Amino acid sequence: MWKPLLLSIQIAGSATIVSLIAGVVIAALLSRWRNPIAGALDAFVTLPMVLPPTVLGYFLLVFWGAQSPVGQFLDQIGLPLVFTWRGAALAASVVALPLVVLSSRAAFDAVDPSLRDVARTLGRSELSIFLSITLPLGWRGVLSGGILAFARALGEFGATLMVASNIPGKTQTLPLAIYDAVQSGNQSEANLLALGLTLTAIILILAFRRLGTTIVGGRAHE
Amino acid sequence: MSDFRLRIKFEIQYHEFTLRPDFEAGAELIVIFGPSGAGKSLTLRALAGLVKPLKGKIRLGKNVIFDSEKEIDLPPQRRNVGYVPQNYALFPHRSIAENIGFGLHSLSRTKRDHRVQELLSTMRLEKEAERKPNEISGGQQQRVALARALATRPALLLLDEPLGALDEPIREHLRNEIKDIQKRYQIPVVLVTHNLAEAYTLADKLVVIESGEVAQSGSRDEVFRRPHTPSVAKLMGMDNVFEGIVEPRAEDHALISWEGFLLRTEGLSSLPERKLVLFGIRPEELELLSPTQTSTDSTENLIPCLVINTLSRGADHALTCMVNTPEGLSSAWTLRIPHRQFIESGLTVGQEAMLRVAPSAIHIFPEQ
Repeated sequence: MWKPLLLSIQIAGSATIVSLIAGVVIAALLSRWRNPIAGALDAFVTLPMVLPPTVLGYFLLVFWGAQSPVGQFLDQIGLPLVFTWRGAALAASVVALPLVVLSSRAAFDAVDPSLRDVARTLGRSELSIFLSITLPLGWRGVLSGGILAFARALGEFGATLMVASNIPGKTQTLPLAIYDAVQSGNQSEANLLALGLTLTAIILILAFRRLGTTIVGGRAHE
Repeated sequence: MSDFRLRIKFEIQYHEFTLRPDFEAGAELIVIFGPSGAGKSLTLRALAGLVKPLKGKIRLGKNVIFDSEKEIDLPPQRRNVGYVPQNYALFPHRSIAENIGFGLHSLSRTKRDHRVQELLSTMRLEKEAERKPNEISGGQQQRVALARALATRPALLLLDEPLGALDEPIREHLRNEIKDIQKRYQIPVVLVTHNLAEAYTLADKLVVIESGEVAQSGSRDEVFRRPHTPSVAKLMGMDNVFEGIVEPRAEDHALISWEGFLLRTEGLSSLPERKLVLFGIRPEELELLSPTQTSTDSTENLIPCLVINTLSRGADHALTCMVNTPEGLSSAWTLRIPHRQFIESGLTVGQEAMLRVAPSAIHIFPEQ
């Protein structure tokens, strides 16, 4: 019971950090660019949200599996992704990425553009403007994106199963453990695990709602 | 004193709308005036480097900040231009002092603090230094925005409708403040407004923009009293514009006939006789005499009329008078009469009266 829980938190936590960092950078670029490349990037990043997780997991497996150049390189430096918790975390972060991007981008877009205009005339670089204005005013959107990402990563099943398999103590997360418990007829363990996950979900929803009511901050008043 | 001459001439496309600002100015208060949607704000944004003109040139003193032919387009960061947008755009998460010091990131801490202190005290914001923008009044917010723009010692200050959102007494006060700032810093200040009274009180130089084109630019009084076209005249509040005919000069003065009335004017010497001309008279330059007051010795420049409407505007009254011409046409004239004078004249709607047109009040439009 405890091993899958800890593993789940470890994987979902790492996935959240990775998707937050990548998602904020992508959201910042998307909220500035207005060109076909941005459109393509936007579509590409949103893809994991509409693609079935197993298909996504399959693509990732092909991309960084032992047969691919990426996989061989990772093998050589001793950091293989297939059948490891790192692989599971990376898969979960890809699945969670669109949530961070959408939420952060909406928050960045809601920041009054004239603030950035004034900052430009005051000699501030684009990076400095992002760090000192856009990000501090849009942090609620970033944070709620992070919460959604954590929740999504915690519940990840399909893509994780594809890239990391279901190895108890190594890559078996809570959802996979529940599946195993049900398969082997272990009703009481399945109940316990399901209850744990449900409670976590409720806590996350409460946290999200607290932020959600104030998500469009960053205008003139907070 | 360094050269702060501002020369702009560029063309910019915005949706289906082409804007062609074209004027020159020195270290003075330049008011860009025009109806809403004429492209005034866009002109400021182009000067700040926030939008790029299609072609043209912008010079500020010795520096060319934009030149499409030489492919010069300095980014806003390097133009050294102070910009205050319509909503002030104060950073809501930063204190007043931090807002003012925002453009001083390259200065040392002591220098920065010193300059921020200096501006806080000139703008009388010392008590507000640690507050957030939403905790201070609208007038104070505007002063913070001005201080922030001035902190970097800009060579040009751009103000977009700076007084639009403020209450009347604060407006009055800030108008003086803006004039003082221009005098103290001795830089060109370009201010955009669609409020005529504001344009008049603030401007040294007035640039009238109409559907993207500079309709006229010049000193304030030149534009206000000597508009080039009837449409500029309308924008400047010169409501009475009519067509007359140049008559042979009598003795030492020029004459125009308008609908059978002879009006004595000044100027006109270069215009050939019998030529059609447009002339205009500002409503506050007309006098209206009640029948009892018309016992004046001269009947010169008097036009009989009927008062058809009066509207009190507080300090003065706007009157509309209908003139019945000998040819049987009617034409409406508008006037403004100070409150005291209006009460004493006892003029009411439906009353016969006499319009008196001072010869110097008649502005003859240049030929089109």
